[in-house]
Amino acid sequence: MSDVDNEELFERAGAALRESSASDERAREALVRAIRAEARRRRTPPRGAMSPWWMALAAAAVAFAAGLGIGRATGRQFVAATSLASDSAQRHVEFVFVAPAARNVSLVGDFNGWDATATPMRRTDGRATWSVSIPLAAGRHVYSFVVDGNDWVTDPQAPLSPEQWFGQRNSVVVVPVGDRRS
Amino acid sequence: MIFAAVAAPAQEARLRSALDAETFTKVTKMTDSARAESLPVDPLVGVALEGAQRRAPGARIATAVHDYLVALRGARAALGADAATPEIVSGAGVLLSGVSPEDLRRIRAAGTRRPLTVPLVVLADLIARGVPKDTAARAIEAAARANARDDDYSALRRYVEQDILAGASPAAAAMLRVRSITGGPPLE
Repeated sequence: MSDVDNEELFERAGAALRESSASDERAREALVRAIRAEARRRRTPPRGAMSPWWMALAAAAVAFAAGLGIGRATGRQFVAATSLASDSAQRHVEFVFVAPAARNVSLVGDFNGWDATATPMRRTDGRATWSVSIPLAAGRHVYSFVVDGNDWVTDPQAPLSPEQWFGQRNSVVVVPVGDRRS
Repeated sequence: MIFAAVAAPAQEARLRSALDAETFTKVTKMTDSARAESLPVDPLVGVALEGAQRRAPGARIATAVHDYLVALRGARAALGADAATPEIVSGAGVLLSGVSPEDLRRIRAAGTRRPLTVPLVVLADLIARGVPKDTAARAIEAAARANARDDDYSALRRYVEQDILAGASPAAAAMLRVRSITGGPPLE
C-alpha cells in the first residue's frame, strides 16, 4: 500500500470517527462501515506485505465487534477483564491480534522474558485473528506482538508504553488486583 | 510456562543466559541495588531481557537498566513509601515521559482515594500520543481530584485518541475531554 493510499485510508478512518463522538455505538458502526467499504475496494495484501496501518484498522474492527474488549486485553478497555487462573494470585488474560496475512504471530512481554518462542498465538475466527490466553500476575505489564518472527508490533488498541529503550514502544495492559474494578 | 514474578536466582539465571558477561555484571549490580532498596526488580530484568531479544548492544542495555532504576527511585520518592509496586512502575514511566517529580507529587496528593496505576498509564499514553506533558499532567490531576474511576481514565484515553485521529490537536482534545470527568470548564 503506497503512502498516498495510506493517506486516503487515514482520511476515511478520520471521517468515520468524526461522525462518531456521540456514542461508542455510532463510532463502531461508522468505523465498521468505513472498513467494510475499504475491504470491498481493496484486495487483501499479499503475505508479508501487510502494513501496520492496515493491521491497526483491522484490529480496531475486531475490537469493536468484540464488544470493546470484554474478556480481552486488546479491547479499548485496557484494564484487562479477567477470569481467575488456577493459581488465585494470577488472572487469565486473553490477547487478540488481527493479522490476516501473517504466517505466525507470538506474544512477547515482561511476563515471558520477551521470548518470541514462548507464547505462540493461535489462529481463530477463520484466518484473520490470532489469540492466546495466559495467566498474569496483577499489575502493569508491557508487551508486543511479533509477526512472522521479525516484526515487533504494538497493540493498536492498547496504551503505549512511555519507555522506548530500544527504539520502539510497547503496549501496556493493567491486570487488576483481586476483583476490585475501581 | 510461568508468567509471574520470578525469584532472584531464576532472574539471575535468565540474565546470565541472555547477556554477555560484562553486561550481566553491570545489570546484576543494579538489580541487587534495587532489591536492597526494596524497589521492583522485575521491570529491570524485563528491560534487560527485552534488549537481549531485540539484539541491542550490551552498553545500551546497561544504560536502559540504569535509567529505569533512577526513574523507579524517583517515582517512589514522589509517590511515597507506601506506593504499590504497579504505581511505582507506572510512575517511573511517567517520569521517563518528561513529567516532573513535582507534577507526580501533585497527582498523588490529588488522588489519594484510589490506586494510581491506571491514571499514570493513561498519562504516559496521552504524552506518547502528542499531548504536551504539562497539559496531560494537569488533566490527570484534575481527574484524580474529581475522584475519577479507572473506567473514566480508560474512556478519557479512548476519546482523546479518537479526537486526535479525527484531526483535533492533542492538547485541545485532552483539555476538552477531561471535562466529562471533572464536570467543570475545560482546562486552559
